[in-house]
Amino acid sequence: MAKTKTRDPLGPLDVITAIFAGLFLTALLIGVIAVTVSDNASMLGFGEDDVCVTSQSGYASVQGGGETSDVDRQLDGLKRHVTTFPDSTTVCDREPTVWAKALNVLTQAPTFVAFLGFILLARRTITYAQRNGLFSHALAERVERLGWLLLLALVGSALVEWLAEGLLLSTMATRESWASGSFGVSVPGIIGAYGLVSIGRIMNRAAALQADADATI
Amino acid sequence: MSDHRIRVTLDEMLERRGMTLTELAVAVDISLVNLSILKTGKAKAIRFSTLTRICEVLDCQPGDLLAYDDNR
Repeated sequence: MAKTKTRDPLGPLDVITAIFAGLFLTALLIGVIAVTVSDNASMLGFGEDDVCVTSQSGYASVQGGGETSDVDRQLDGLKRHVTTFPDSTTVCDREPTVWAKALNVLTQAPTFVAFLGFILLARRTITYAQRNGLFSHALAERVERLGWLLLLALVGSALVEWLAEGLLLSTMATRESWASGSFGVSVPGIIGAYGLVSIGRIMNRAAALQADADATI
Repeated sequence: MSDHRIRVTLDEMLERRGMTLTELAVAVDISLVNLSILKTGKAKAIRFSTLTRICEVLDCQPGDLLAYDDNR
């Protein structure tokens, strides 16, 4: 009799996570090599000659403010009652100090590190589930922990980036304070982390039911 | 620690019938591992279908296989 092949329910998830982890790590490797070898390459703030940061405050010296002229309207294809405003300004330092370069890295790297860490931990959790089964307290706790870690990583990285941006702006412009950076946290990421915590807790209850079922003869 | 005081008396019944656990496993079509779990009292529950098959083979009543033990 032909043996029926059981399908691995975590197979597709494993493949997708492996592809993401591979892409992230390859991009990281290529970036590190490019920054080391080339003078023009940059990655996550490393290897940049100019340090630039976006400010939400308006600067009088910046061109383009004020009422839109008729010539600009025609060029941009804007109607008479429509006006445009620059909502942010990119501030660049052409002679950055080591401190400014370090802050520049901190405005970009934390989110990448958080996502890379999450992908690697998710892959580890999937491998653990494939080896030890789907219904166990240990796996449920791992899933819940993964959710909390993602939540902390997202909020933590957003805080570090906000603080680094503010500090960087304050080193470039005296009117900017250390708190003038823009705070942006991924809302879908937060919802996803909350979902993971919830699934972990549900799995914990399911593991108890599975243990009872396993001990029934 | 176990949360119940029910003792499975399967080994005593097997001894009375002159049957081994392996023979019972074959006769009732239950794995030896599961029957061993049942015999050693590590099982949390027993299905009516399992109980029916064991009773059929051993020609006994469910009460002959289970006992309330106050000292457990």
